[in-house]
Amino acid sequence: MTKDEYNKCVQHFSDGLFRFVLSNIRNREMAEDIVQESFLKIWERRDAIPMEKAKPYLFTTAYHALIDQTRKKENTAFVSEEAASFINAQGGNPHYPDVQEVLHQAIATLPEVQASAILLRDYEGYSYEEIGRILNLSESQVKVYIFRGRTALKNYLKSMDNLIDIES
Amino acid sequence: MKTNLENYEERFVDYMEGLLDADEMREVETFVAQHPELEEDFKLFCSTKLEPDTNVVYTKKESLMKTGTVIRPLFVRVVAAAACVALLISIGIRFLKPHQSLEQQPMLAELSPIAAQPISVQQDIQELRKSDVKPMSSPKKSSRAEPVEAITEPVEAIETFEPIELIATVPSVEPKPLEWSNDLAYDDTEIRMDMELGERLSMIGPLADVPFDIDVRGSLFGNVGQATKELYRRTAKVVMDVYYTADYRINEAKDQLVASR
Repeated sequence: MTKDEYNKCVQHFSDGLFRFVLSNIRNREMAEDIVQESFLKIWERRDAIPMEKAKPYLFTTAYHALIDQTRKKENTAFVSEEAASFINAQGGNPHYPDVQEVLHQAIATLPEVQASAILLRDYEGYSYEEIGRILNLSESQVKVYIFRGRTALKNYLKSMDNLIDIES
Repeated sequence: MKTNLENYEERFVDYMEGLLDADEMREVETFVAQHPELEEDFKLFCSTKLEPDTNVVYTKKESLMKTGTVIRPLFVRVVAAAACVALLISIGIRFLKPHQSLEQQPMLAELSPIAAQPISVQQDIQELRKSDVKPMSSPKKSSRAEPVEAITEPVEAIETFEPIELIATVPSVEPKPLEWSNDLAYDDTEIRMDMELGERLSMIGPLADVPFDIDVRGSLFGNVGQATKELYRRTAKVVMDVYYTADYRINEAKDQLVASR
């Protein structure tokens, strides 16, 4: 990957990568750090990474960083607190319709692997095979995690059913 | 595969995931029509697709871009010196002599990155010299070979001296704007240089005493290079604060002098 190609990656992939990470951890600063770290890593390894593999590489790196982050126990309380204040501070996120707002709350409660699989699927439109490569899973494992994740999201929506009119 | 009461959730997910062909989709829809008690679940599953909020963007793209401009060695040298100074100050070095001159002030002057805001030290000094203010000590040529000492002394002196003494001992050196690079892009060489500097800094003193919330050992920013870069920036800011404080006190003393005439 050349320097110009790297710069194109920054232009084209950083927003998507940032949304992917932010939706997972709901903490803007941590998400920015992870994006920065991911790009730093790909720059360091640019000679070994062709342009067409750059995007999956970035998502893989970010995913590993997410796992490291959430494994740090001391962050757990902070993250959930941050998630709550993130949502409250925005008075309910004005950019999301109700269902999307609830879904984005819910996705942050899922195990990283389920959340990441669903976010890669929905945000980036990756196939199960591609998601498997990024998350280092088999295609059938991806299918299982997406199924579990969707079921959890469905149950979350159902539990919020009395508060939000899904039909609207 | 037919949809049934055992596998309907899996089929609903396949349906919303777009994994079914037209016939299979119709089959699922028929199943839902025949089982109205499952219609809510079906609709909820279909609602679990997340849409990215395109208003959320990564705002620091510029800092990640590589422009190909290498950070000038001057930048690295000056900021390295500044980092050392801040460390020394922070761990309470106190072997400064109040009567020593501020002749090494050029180091501070040299650190000014703000060309658009020229410092009027030189002008002030010339004016004040005209008004026969005696220096506290005789000026000496500055030694830039010892940057650490060069900056710590003025810093201490600023805290110790009355403003008028400070004026008299500021050297007659033209302040030079720092060749400050806005390009924070790093290449491998720079990262290596930073890592080396980071190691040297870590040997200077206990990092816990550094008045910055930075872990030079790197975990917060991902690596030593990044952490050290952050240390550079904050340290440079501290040194600049000291410099502007000196400038402020010079002006303050000048006003007092004018008022006393």
